[in-house]
Amino acid sequence: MITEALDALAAAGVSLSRGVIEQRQDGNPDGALLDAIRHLDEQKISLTNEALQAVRAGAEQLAFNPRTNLRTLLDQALERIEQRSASSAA
Amino acid sequence: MAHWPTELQRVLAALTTDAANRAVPLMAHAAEFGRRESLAFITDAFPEFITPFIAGAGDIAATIYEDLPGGIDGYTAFTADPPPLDKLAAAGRYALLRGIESFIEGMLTRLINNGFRDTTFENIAKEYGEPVILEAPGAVLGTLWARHASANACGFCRVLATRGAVYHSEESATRVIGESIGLTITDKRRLFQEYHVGSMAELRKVAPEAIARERERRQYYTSEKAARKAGKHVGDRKVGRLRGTQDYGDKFHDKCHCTAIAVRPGGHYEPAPYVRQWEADHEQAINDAQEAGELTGGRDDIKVIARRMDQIERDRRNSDTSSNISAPDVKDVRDDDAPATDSAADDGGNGTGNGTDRTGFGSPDEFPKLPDGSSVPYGPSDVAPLDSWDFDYFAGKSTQSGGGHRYGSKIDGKTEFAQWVQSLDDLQAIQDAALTSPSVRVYPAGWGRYQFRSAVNVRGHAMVVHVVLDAHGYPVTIFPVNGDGVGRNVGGRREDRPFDLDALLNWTGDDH
Repeated sequence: MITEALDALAAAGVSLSRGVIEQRQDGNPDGALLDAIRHLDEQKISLTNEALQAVRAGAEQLAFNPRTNLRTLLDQALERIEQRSASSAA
Repeated sequence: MAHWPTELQRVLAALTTDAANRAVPLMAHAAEFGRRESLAFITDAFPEFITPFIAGAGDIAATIYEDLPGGIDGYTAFTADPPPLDKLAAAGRYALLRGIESFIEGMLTRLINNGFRDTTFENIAKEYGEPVILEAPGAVLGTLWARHASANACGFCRVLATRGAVYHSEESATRVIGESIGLTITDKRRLFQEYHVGSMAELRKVAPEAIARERERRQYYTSEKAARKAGKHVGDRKVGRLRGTQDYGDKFHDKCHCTAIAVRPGGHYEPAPYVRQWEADHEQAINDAQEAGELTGGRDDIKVIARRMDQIERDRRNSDTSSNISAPDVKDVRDDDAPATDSAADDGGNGTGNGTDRTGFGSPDEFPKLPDGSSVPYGPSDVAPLDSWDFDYFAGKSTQSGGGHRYGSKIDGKTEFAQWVQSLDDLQAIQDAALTSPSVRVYPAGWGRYQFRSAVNVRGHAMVVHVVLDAHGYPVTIFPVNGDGVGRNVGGRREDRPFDLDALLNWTGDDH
């Protein structure tokens, strides 16, 4: 699911950052997807419905220690991306 | 536009920085092994590592040499051979045993800058047919080559850089004649009166040609008595004594950024503008030291003069008086790390450094600075220990992706630790080693996180490890990039990921 999400982003024409690519190649696809989502949010990028679904499915597979606030940050970023994507589609 | 030797210093400094960025993790990695193994490793690795940098500096020197004015028609410059492997290996072992980052950087500066200097000296020797420079470069400083120091060089380097700053004639720049014959007190008084000035510094500003003319006149015997006393004839050129600091002329202490600029046959060298100020400082330093009775005529005189020059420079900056140093030159290659004058002179280029700025590989209580100069808001000892959730994730008991990086997890795209890493203690030992490793590099990772990467050796297993912590020092993830027994799952297969330091050295830490 996680690697598929990254593949879906690439297939949708999203330019993955060097850091994301580096993390994936170094064997940390979880971190790569997390940062890809963060970049999508920071750069206010909208996604196609298909890519969005893949990203959502991948993000659900990510696990975070509850001692950190990363799950909250991730969910908030995803929500903004979904809203933006929905607005673009409309 | 900056004086071109200053640009050259910048290039060499960049080369050294690049080498240091790679050498420190290399040394740190070697230090993770037992003493015997680490020395054996560095004996092989260090010469191979450093030789391209030395050769690169030599290539730069050869290129520049050919571009310098003057020279024999058809002469083609060449790059000097790097030092013998056994010497480089010895330098590497010494650096390893010292284990001090600032020392390693200083040693690299010397080795790489010597690559430039050796090529320069060897080409001078060949083009002039004068091998003396190879035996004693200091003896021909000021005639066959000049010493360029940055504007903020230490006193020791400034003393030496004032030598050879002005080539009074083509002949003096192309022959080994020792020190030019200086002006007498009578000459100076006459020139002061003629040009209405009160010092040599002022005279240099208003009538440098008069100084040159008088000096040239003084190069020849005009008195039959004086000529006869020296075994010469009227009209013969006088040969000045080699300057008292010649023994030091070829000394380049660790971290010294001075470069050797060749003066090719028929060529000339124009020193940086600030050297004129240094010449004035030099004169004043000698006068002050003489008045204070500090000069003995011995080898320590240069240290006294260098200290005096440092003091003059400090006084000038403190009083904010005008100087001949232009703003851009002050921002030249920084010599902040230049050793204190005493130590520089004591070192005599033996490569021992002064050690006053030793910081070690980093304090266990703080991480290295981030690239922007800021700090991680907590230190290694503040990082929260891994807990049961972290272990469950690592061990594949997580409800989400089904596991972390434990051997046998078989999650596509993920690396797996070696099989021996099984318990929370194992994982904690690796994280502790990674965060306190001398090789650790750190970058921001967005959302307040920090990412760390280190080369470590835990329980005899070498690996490059990546750790991510959140803004408050709670662990986010830990995974192996490569190492002994490390693998990565790709398309249902487990590919070996053997230890490779490039994953640390070439890591960009890019979070954008």
